[in-house]
Amino acid sequence: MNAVSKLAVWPLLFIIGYGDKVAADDAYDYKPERALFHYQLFCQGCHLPDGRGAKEVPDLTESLNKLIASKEGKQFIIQVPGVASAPLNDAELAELLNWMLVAFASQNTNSDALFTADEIHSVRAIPLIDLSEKRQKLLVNINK
Amino acid sequence: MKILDKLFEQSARKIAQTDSRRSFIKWLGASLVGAGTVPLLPVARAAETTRPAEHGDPASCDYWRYCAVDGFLCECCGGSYNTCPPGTEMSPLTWIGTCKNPIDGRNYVISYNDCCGKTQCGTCLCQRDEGDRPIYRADKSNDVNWCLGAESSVYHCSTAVVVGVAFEEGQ
Amino acid sequence: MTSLAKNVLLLSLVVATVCVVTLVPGSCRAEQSQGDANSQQQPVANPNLPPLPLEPLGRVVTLPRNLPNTWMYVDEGSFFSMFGGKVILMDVTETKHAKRIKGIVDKNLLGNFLPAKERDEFYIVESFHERGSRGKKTDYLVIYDSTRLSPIKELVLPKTRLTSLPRRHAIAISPDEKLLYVANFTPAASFTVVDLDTREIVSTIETPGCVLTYPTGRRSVTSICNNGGLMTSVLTDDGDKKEQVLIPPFFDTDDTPIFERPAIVDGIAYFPGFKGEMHELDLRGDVASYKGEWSLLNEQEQQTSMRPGGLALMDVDDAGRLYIIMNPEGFDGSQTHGGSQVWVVDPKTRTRIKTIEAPNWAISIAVTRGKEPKLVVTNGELNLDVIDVATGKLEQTLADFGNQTPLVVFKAY
Repeated sequence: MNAVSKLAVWPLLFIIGYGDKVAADDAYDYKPERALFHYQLFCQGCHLPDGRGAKEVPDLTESLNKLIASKEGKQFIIQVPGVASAPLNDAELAELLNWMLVAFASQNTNSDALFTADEIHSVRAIPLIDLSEKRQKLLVNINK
Repeated sequence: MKILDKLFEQSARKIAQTDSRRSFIKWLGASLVGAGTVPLLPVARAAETTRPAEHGDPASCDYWRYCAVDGFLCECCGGSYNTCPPGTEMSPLTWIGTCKNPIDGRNYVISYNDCCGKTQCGTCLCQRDEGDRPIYRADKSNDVNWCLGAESSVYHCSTAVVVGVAFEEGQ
Repeated sequence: MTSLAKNVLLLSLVVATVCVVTLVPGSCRAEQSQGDANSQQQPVANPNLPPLPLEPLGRVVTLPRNLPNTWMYVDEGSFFSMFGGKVILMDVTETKHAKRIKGIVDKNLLGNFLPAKERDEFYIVESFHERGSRGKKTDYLVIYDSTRLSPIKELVLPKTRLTSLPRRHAIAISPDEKLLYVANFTPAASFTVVDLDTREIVSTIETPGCVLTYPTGRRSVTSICNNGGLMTSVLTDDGDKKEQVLIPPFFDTDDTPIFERPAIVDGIAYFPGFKGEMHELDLRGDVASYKGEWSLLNEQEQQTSMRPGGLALMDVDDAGRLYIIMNPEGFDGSQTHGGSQVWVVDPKTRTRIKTIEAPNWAISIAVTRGKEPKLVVTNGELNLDVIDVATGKLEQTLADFGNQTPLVVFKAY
């Protein structure tokens, strides 16, 4: 098991940045260092610095790309408890998710798939029931 | 600065009230001993080109990195504060804390990865819970056996690895 | 007889007596023997007594079905040697050391424990690797016969069970004791439902973002969530998932956190907050409902550092009074360290009835059953202080019972 050797990859993530504005939230000043900090505090313990997870923790580098391909998939990402209940406001959470899309889902800062704070705001309050079933359905559908 | 202030305050307060309890609380190990080694004021920075030095004894429960640790310190077990002892496995799943380094005054993100796969080290037990929360906040919970992320679930000792620098608003 | 002859005769008699005395086993030697601490005086052996009756081999003690009020199960996690974890059944008011331990069962690798109240059973969830710390890991639910302290059945659990410091709510049982709920943590949270009549696993129910098992209503289980709210999983009669209901957040997990270790009195759960709040939850219906909060502290005390603290920091007695460890010098970071006092609180009037000093610190507490409760305190030395609640007096300290880290104590039934 080489999950730990993957930990050595994390310094590279410091380098990933935006450079310019992201999506439609012009007013919000995106800071990749802040997003990284939030990722480290609230996500990294389970999803690991490279997003690949371990044991039963899902590999974000596999699933994120697939999920953002659909509206339902994007909603699912926002609704998972670790995201919806993250101690971040909507703008911070959008920033974090977008940083993850760049870091783990091969997106760039001009991608249409990026999240907005408004999107986060309306979706995160909707409770997610039957998480496993929904996830399976979404990933299976995408594979088709 | 909010996080810094909180940590500061608690450090001073803790030092004031440790003495009456020092003889008890074997469960916490050395966490209340040696409080005097923690400086109350940040020490002047080392030369800019060198990595900031660290202050304090990594075998002491009061070492700055251990502000949210819970378990046996790998420093005393054949490893170090950021390496696992021989033949153990570092669990990738863990809880995360933020501790202030007194040398440079920065808050660092600390990853408390457990080393697993052998019976308990059994010395240098240390439990400090700054910012710790019950298991409903798994990211901040040191009560859980995080060796659940390793091949062997048997807990040996805990590290405190610097994995990031805290982002301070106004940077 | 000449005086010389008399002296010789006297000397011979003395020598003869000494010889006779030394030939009689034990009697003379007893005066010099070191080992016979138990008897006040050595008996003089009487060979005319009939011999002892012969004894059969293989006899093993069986415990009574209804245990006395002062017997308790000590969760001995053995944090320094977890392969040696166990549960020790003890009479906490017994003064004779040798009579305190009533029996022991193994509990490997920080296993979880729960006693039944009606069934003559208790339940242990534990983990084993094939070769100590190596090899494949298997989690088991072991259903124990509480009178024989022997397993009735072992079930292999399908999910990684919760392994943490010991707690009272890692397993729960339905009020009719038909279903058992085992908390899992992979780190995704779920619980496995076991039918205690058939002794088979019924289902595993995911509780995304919500952990632990608080028994609710007749067929429900409540878990506490990462958003500061709750989730109640409502089950069918057989233990399958019917629906899940979210109870909105009532605390902030960063700023106003609560302990996940409530005391439950007649279906009302009392969750203390880190700063002395007391949150009430009604767990009597099918779905948990939040009843509000009050404070353990008066306005003046709220300005001080007085805070609840400890591991198993709360318990309840049969009269419905709450007991909670308080630390007058609490701070963020001291929440599981314990305290120097135990407050006895009436939850109905929300008043403090008394303050009991914990002379040797309190990490965890438990209260015996019955009308004259004793407060059992896991103290700073990791021994158990037994304090009389009515008088507040420390009656005895239980030590040297194979204890290492006896962090949670359970009522026994």
